[in-house]
Parts: sequence; structure tokens; C-alpha cells
Amino acid sequence: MATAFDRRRIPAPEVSIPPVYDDAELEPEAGPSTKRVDRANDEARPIFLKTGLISQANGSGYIESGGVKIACSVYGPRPKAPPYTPQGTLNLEVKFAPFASDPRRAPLRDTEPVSLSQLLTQSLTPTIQLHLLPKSSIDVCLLVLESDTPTNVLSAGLTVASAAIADAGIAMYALGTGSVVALAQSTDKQEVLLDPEQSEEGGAEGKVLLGSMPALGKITNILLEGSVDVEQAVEMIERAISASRDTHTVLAQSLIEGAQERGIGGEAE
Amino acid sequence: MAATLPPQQPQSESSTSAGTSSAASAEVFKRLHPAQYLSRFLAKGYRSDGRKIRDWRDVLINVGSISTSNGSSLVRMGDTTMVCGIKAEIAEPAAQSPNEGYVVPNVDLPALCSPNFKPGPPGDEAQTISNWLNDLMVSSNTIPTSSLVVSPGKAVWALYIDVVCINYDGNAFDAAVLAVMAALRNVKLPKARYNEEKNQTICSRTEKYPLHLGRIPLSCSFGIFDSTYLLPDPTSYETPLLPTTLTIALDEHNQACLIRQEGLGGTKGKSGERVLGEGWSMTEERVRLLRGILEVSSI
Repeated sequence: MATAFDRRRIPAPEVSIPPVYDDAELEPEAGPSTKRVDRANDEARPIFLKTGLISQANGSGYIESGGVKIACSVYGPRPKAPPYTPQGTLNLEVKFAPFASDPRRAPLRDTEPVSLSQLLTQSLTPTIQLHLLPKSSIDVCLLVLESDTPTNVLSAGLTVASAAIADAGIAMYALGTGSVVALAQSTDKQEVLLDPEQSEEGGAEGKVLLGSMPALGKITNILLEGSVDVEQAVEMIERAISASRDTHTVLAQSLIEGAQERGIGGEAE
Repeated sequence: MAATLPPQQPQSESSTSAGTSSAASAEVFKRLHPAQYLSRFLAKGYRSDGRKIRDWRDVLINVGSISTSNGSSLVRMGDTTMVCGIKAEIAEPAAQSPNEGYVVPNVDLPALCSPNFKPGPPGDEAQTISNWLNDLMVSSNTIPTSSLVVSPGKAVWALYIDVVCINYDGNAFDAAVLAVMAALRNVKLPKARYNEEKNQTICSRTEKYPLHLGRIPLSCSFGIFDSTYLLPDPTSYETPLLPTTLTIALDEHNQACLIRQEGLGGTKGKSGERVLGEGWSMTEERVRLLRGILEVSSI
């Protein structure tokens, strides 16, 4: 299996499998259509967002949202090697710590971050005023420390990346936020669930990831998966839009707090 | 005379602009002449980050915050921040060593943590630190590999110890060692049974046990500046200015697990042996403090 020997890392056994658990010990659950009990259907889990923790970077952010923990740093704008480009370039890299998910992500065998990086770049590019930064590049690095589903990683990643870019003082059109909505089949009817957990997303009929700029009322990215009616899709998107406004409030508040901690708050904007 | 006049003129204009320009020129001086900048601080008995010459940076340890791992820790040493997560998987032991599990420590210094690192596979420094860490853990028998056996010759635990740097401000090795030791103490492995018929290992969801640990080394690093000053716990600004580095790791009984000196030892008027002795006694004191923090963090 592991034909290419990796000389850059401490050698691991060729094959190892994640622990298999004894299912007899599991207490029986109430089937796949478990109803949400601890919060309302349109209630998101709390978000913890802090900027400026990584002192080496020009801007940085750290987010904890549900089962996702992401650190993000921004380097730039820094001079870019030729050829000349009239606009700035956004380089974005998503990286998973090997312990960030279940099962473990072995380095080199992990291909998921590439597509996530691509999607995040697309939804983040419209928020930045790249035309102001000719011949420059902005390097955004996201390190996922804990994750549940790729959709939640994208949503939290978009929020924390725009926090870090704003923290770096790079001109933006508006702050980008991510939100996730799932359509779940309950016992008798279909329910729209905001900010689904891993188990809810697994049993969902469909899910929407929405990237938006709530301050401008614009959408940067919609990713809908599953089988959903048009009316339901519209309902889900509207729910996601209203949720993104709440996320935007948290994001703006953490930016203000971050600025005040560095002693540049309190001034008239 | 004429040459000295112009610089004085802006100062007399207004006191506020002079204040900002001197702050800016200090920043320029720091960038252009790092060695002189540092030596002026040291001459006054301080380091460029404001601590006394012989002071260490504050340490903060937080364990068990990553739920996707079997054991984890976050260590802050000044601004240097390391996260260590340990995941256990089941593997077949090597044919020549049926009674030994696997321990796979790796340190990653991603592009996230410093402007000097590039994205991609681990760079030279990350590889070096990974190897040092592995050597230290193997030689001091921190995790006896025999304690990781589920069924001899059939199934053993493979412990993947991954350390990721989030903020790189020097002395990554000390921070990585501390993060690994804190995470190891936090690991809970599920009780595992090997099923001969199915050729499969089954783990219990409810019964868990901590690791059996051997010696727990903690390391302390120093740099020697200008063959004069022995500086503990160097930052990323100081590191390129220190041609000699000294690392000492001690276990619980203050016995050495690792001593490594790179570059010319000794300072002006002191032999290498005496400087090593000085470093050793400072290490003893520091390691005692670190162990105290380690104990408190795991409660």
C-alpha cells in the first residue's frame, strides 16, 4: 500500500486501522430520525472567534464553532515573483492536523484539503479588494485542529479567514461569513435545521453551504447537495442568509475587541 | 557642524512626531542591525522581548481540548504555541519484534506558524526536530513499546503523536517536548481484545486506561551570543544570532536524557564545562517548575 517511503517523517507501520468498537455496549438509539432536543431548529451553536493570536502573522484568527476548531493566519500583502499581475493574488491553503478528524488523516494520503482550498478560495475572492494590490500576494493558511464534517469546516473556515484578512488590515468589500443549513426527514415532516451536527448532516436529505457578505446583502457562494424541492431550497437559503447576519455580528464584535486589545480601538471610524 | 544640524531640526518641530519617528527608527535599527540591537539590550541586563537575561518565558499548558484525539495538549511558551494530538490505531507488529508496539512522533512547522516556512512537506527544521524528539523518546524509554501490545505477534497499538506549531517564536524543541509529555499523560486508550477467530481487535467503549509511562524527559535550550551571554529559551528573533546552542533534557530524578551542544561551547573567561554546569543548574530549576505546571494541568 505505502509504496513511496516518506523520508521526511518518522516511519509509521505500513498498515494500521482505527479502533473497532464493541457495538454490543452501545445503548440503542432511537433510529436515524432523532429529533433535536438541546436547541431549536433555527438556533446555531455558539461561535468563539478571536483575532490576533498568532504574533508572527500579519493577521490571524481562531474559531471554535460546533465540532470545528480552526486557526488561520494571513501573510501579506507581500511582493509576488514575476510575472506582473495587475491584481493581487490570493493563495489559500487548508491543512488538516493529522489528529483533526476521525479516523486519523495520514499525511500524503489526504486529498480532501485540495478541494476545500479551491472552494474556499472561490468564496473568499469576491470579498477582497484585490485590484488595490498589484504585484502582491496574500497568503492565507488555515489549520484545522478539530473537525466533524467538511461542510462545517468550509463554513467556519470562510468566517475565520475573513476575520484574519480584516485583522491583517487588507482592504475588503465586506466580511464574508459561512453558514450551513440541512433538510432533515423527521418522523412525520421535513425540517430545516440550522448549523447541523455530524449525525444530523449524515441523515439529511440535503444540505446548503452558503457563503455571503451580509453587510452588502450579497452571496459569494452556494453549495447545495442532496435532493431538495425548489421551495425547500429557497427556504433553506433564506434561513442560511438570516443566520449569516448573526455570524456577522459575532465576527464584527471580535474584530473590534481584537483592535482594542492592540490599542487601536476607540478611535472614530 | 553643518552635517549635525539637519537631524536636530525635526525634533524641535513637535514632540509627538519626534516620538513616532524614534519608534520607527528603533524598528529600522532592529531589522538592519539585529546583533547590535540585541547586544545593547544585553549590556543593560535585558533581552529584546523585555525579560531579564537569565529569565525563561511563561508557560501555559492546556490538556484534553481536542475531542477527535485520544489525548491532546496545547502548550504556550511565550508566543510559541504548539498543539499535540495523539491518536491510537491498531497495527500488526513487525515479524522480528512481536512484543513491541509502534510510537510515531512527528513535528510539523506549517506555513501558518511563521513567514519563513513554505507550504508543502516538512522542511529541514521540522524533520530535525522530529528526529530529535524520536531519539529522545526512544533513548529515555518514555513509552515502553511492550506496554502497547494487545496480543503478541497479532495486534499492537500504534501511537501517532503529531505536534503542530501554530505560532513559531523560537525554541520549538522545548515546546514540542513539553507538549508531547503533557499529551501523553492525557491519553486514555480503550481496553482492547484480540479475537482469534475473526482475526480482529475489538475495543471497549466504556473501559479506558491511561498509558504506562517510563521516564518523562523535559528539555531546556540555551543559546550563546557573542561568546559572552548564555541565553535561555531564545526567541525566533534571537535564534539566528546564536551560533552556539545547548540543549539539556532531564528526567524526574534530574538525570540527563539528552545533552546536545552545537557550535563552540564556553564563553569569554569560562570553559565549556563551566558553562555546561551553569546551564545544567538552570535546567534543574526550570524543569522543576515545568513539572509543577504539568502536574497542575492534568487535574
